Amino acid sequence: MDAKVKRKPGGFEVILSKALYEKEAVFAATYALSGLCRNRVEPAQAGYVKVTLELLDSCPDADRARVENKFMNELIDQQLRLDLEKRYGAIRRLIVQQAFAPLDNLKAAVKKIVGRD
Amino acid sequence: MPFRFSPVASNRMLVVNEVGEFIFLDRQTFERLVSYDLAPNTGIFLDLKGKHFVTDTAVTPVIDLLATKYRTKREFLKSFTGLHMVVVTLRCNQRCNYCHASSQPTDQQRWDMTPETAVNVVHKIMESPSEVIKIEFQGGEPLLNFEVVKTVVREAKRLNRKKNKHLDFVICTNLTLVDAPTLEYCKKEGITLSTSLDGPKEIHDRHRLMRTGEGSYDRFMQNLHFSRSILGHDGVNPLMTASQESLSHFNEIVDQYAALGFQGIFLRHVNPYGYAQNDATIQSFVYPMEDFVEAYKKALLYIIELNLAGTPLVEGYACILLSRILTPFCTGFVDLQSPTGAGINGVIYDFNGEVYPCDEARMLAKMGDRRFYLGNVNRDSYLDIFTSPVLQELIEVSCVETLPGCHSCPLQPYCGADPVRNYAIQGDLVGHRPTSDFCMKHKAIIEFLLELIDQDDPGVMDVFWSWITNRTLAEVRGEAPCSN
Ligand code: SF4
Repeated sequence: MDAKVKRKPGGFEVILSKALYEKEAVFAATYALSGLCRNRVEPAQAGYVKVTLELLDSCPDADRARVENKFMNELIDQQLRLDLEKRYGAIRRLIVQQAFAPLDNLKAAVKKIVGRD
Repeated sequence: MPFRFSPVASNRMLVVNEVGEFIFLDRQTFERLVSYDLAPNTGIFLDLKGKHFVTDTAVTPVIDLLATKYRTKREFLKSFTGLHMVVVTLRCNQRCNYCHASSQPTDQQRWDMTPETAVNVVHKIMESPSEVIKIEFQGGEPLLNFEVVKTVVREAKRLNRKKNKHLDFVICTNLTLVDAPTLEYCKKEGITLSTSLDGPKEIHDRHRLMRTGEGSYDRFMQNLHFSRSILGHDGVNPLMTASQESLSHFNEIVDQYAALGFQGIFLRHVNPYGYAQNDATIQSFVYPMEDFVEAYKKALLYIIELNLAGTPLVEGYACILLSRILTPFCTGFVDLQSPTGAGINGVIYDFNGEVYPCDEARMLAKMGDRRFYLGNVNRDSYLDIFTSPVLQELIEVSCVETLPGCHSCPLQPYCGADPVRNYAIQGDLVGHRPTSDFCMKHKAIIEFLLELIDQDDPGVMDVFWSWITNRTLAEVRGEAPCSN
């Protein structure tokens, strides 16, 4: 089970596998929906985390039906962002460093990160 | 290469890199991009390569190039505070509905900046490391304390004989008090006027009232023509403030700006704080941001049409964003920068010498919350003021790269943060992006511009380039030689 959704009156509950979704992704996705829902993140059974989303009274009707999809898509996007950051974060930091404090040997730094220059 | 992404309304992925190059991809292509499944000889790979999202050749030159672009985009950090707003008096002969929280009756001179304070203000200004200094006189109505305006101009020019900075002066005036000697002085000293025009008479007079209660429009128009006759046509530049009533009249407002021959218009949403909460007109200023954005989008398309039909008129806000999107250059815009421009790019000196990072912070102080007080020119040194813990905190909490919600947003390179607004509206400096109307507005408008650019309509793009490069459509199209 990667993600199990349980619908409840006025909201839903999702059990997420920690093997697939990192804590940062879960928090970022929950934060992204915090204008529409009251959210809670708590531990579930070993290896899982439980997210409860309760729709706020102020949540527009048009969004109510979409919140569940929105959350699941957001979660995937946030996890992908973390994965991409693992791949390219070092290059991003190198670009910023090179912009403000140029390295003596950029080629060597690039090779160290990318494996080629 | 690193990039950020987000799904957009057109069911595509918006992908933007660290320096603001962007591309829209359909879902399938996006998935192939992130799974390294794009063949190097395909058109889409070459598009992505041209924008530095991928590379199949040497990596170091690409990183070096991106670093150069990144540095250029952040150039505004190098110059430090260039815009210095000086409130020479709180007195005003008008009593507009937007700002009565701070404007004072004309007979109360105790709200005037003294010549001594003015000299101390100038000394602080001229200590700024910025090579380009703009001194903007604000009020109240600055012309009510014109002797202090003159003191500031005289002292700044005297000090500048040694400093040799590029010095500009602007007086923000409602124009109702201008007379020939004032205008002749402005002409002699190279001072331009910035003023307020909300639209045709009915719209303008709804909120821009004289202290006696009558509208200010007729006197404004008379003095606009008079001012232009002395300062030249472009010596007066107006700003408009959108109240709820004006949202459905944006086209008429645009028409009026065009008819008066102004070079541009800045469709501006009013800041909903700084007003007394019990104000009878508060409804005019606290309206849903969605309404503003919708009106803005329609008006922008209308302005583009006007340009294509031969009436040149720049929409200022779009022009700033388009420069950020389409050029490698930096565009300092105090209201939308990362870190915030408040304090480090613009600063405001109140009539009593108190210094605040922006006018909204000054307004909060007027309402009793001195959270953003940076110091006083009569007591504190330049370093005390500009390295104050308050300013450092503002900078720390306004880098979009580290803000919740912004940290993964692809619009980062075009956007910014406004911690003072976050504090005033949401109660803390960091703010809450999912419910922030600042975020909602910028996201909607930036994505709208990106979609327009992506549609690549030759006419629309010509208009955009004419705005960014300050050229005519004919010049952009190569039908006339460039005049600048
Ligand atoms: S304020 Fe909103 S649009 Fe701007 S960078 Fe942050 S999340 Fe993106």
